[in-house]
Amino acid sequence: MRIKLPLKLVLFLGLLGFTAYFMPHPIVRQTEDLMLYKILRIIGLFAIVLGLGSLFVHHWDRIKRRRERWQYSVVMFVCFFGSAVIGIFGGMDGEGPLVTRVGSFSFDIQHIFDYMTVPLGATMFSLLAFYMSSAAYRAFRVRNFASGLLLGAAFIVMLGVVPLGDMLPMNMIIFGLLAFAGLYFSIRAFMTENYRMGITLAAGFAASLVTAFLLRNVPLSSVSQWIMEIPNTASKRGIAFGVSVGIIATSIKIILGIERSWLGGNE
Amino acid sequence: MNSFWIRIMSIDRRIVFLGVAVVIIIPILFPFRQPIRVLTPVQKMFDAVEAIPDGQALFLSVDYDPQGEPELSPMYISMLRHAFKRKIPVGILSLYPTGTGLAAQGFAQVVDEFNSRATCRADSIIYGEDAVNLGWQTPVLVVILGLGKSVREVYPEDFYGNPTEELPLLDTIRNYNNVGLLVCFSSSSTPVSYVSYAQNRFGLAVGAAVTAVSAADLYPYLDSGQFSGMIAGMKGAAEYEELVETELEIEGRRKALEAMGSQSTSHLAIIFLVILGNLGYFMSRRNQG
Repeated sequence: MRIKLPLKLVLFLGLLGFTAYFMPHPIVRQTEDLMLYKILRIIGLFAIVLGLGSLFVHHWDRIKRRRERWQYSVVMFVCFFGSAVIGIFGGMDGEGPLVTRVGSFSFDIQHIFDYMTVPLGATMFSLLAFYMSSAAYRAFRVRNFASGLLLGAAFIVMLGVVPLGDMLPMNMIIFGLLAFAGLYFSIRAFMTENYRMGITLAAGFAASLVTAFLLRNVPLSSVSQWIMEIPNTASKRGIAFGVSVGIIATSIKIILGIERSWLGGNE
Repeated sequence: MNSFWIRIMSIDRRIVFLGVAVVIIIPILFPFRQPIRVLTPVQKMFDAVEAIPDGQALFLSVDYDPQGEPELSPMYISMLRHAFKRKIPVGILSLYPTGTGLAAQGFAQVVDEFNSRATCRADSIIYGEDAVNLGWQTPVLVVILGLGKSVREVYPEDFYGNPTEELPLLDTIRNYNNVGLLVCFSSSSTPVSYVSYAQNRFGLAVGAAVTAVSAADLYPYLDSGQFSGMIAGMKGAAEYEELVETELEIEGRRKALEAMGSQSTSHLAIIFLVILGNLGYFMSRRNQG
């Protein structure tokens, strides 16, 4: 029963969700409306409770067992209960029964959001610029032709998404640099008798020269836009098709009860 | 000689951090103006807002958190200015709780800008008649699908606690049939949810205003015409600001344009660091060989 009931429920609801899209019959529509607008909302609220409970249990366990950096869990609890009490009893702008104003200093939930959550969140995200710069400097190495191609595309896109890319003759510079690199490495490859690599790099050199000439009047942002709209879109679309087919296959397996790992345990 | 290139390859990361900080801070302290060229995705978005028929509303789904605020907030503010200038009714909502506060901040700012300059009713923005802030509801799927049936059913109260029955704008803006365009401001794939559920089922026109990182994933939807337009990253925001200022002659602070200097110099700094790292790598390998 513990296995069969959830499986039957999933089969029924899965088929309902699937067929309701194609069947305009009023009974099917009403059932779907009930599921979507009422039951789904109630389940969503349970999910919030479950999420908060899980957060609570996880951090309580860290404090109880004195795990590494358990002090941060104490900070989490202080913020968790502090903001909950202020939010529930202080109201949105401090209009609740709890006093959230001392002189000109306010600590109602809107002030906490505006002057703590927003700057802290923006600060955390802005740190990415520093870590990305350091990581790119250390790890982005042109070890083969593919990584060279990736680096070239990255430079074009990085300069194309800032106005500076339109102010300077960046096309000529970038494709000129690519041509120079292609020439240099093809000569080196021929000297070390690596003819296949040499021919590939020489072709890259010629292609870069031709591209530099053809794009002499085209702003770099247009080249960057082309990379995003054509090669990027083609690859993303391929990935999306693959992922979608995978989702459909997995969904059918779950609805039909072939895939049961979501039930937990080993059965 | 080899030790020099090895040193170049292993510069202390704190020095890298300091260098990046300098190139970001200096253009903020000493701003320099750069010309902005408007690209097709942003122009399409601007045209889509212009093409909203009379009596139809522009819905703005503010689905970003404070992390995405510096990039997305300038787009949101510019679009509000655009809509208010064109007298397009505006509905604001958030699919995530962190978006509600940011939506309210931006809304209050632009309403103040317009009302402080207003000389008559036609110039001013009145809450409930010209615009509403619906706030947050959960779960996402219920909101996206529910708005196709009835705005008031999904949102019995607005963000400020007013019953939506008392907001006159919602007498005419009942569901997606009265929404000319919905623009989703997001740092994730939320705009795709609007395409999957609201556009496929109700034929809603959807636009995406997203962070530069998530833009790459969304280009297929722009190419297929599922997005009416797309604003991507800080540069996209600066382009929209440019259009709003030049085409509609609305003046106001342009935060994205202000940030362009730092973005340009930081991108150049990263390119310089990558070239430096590669130079060190090749030279040290050559000397070893």
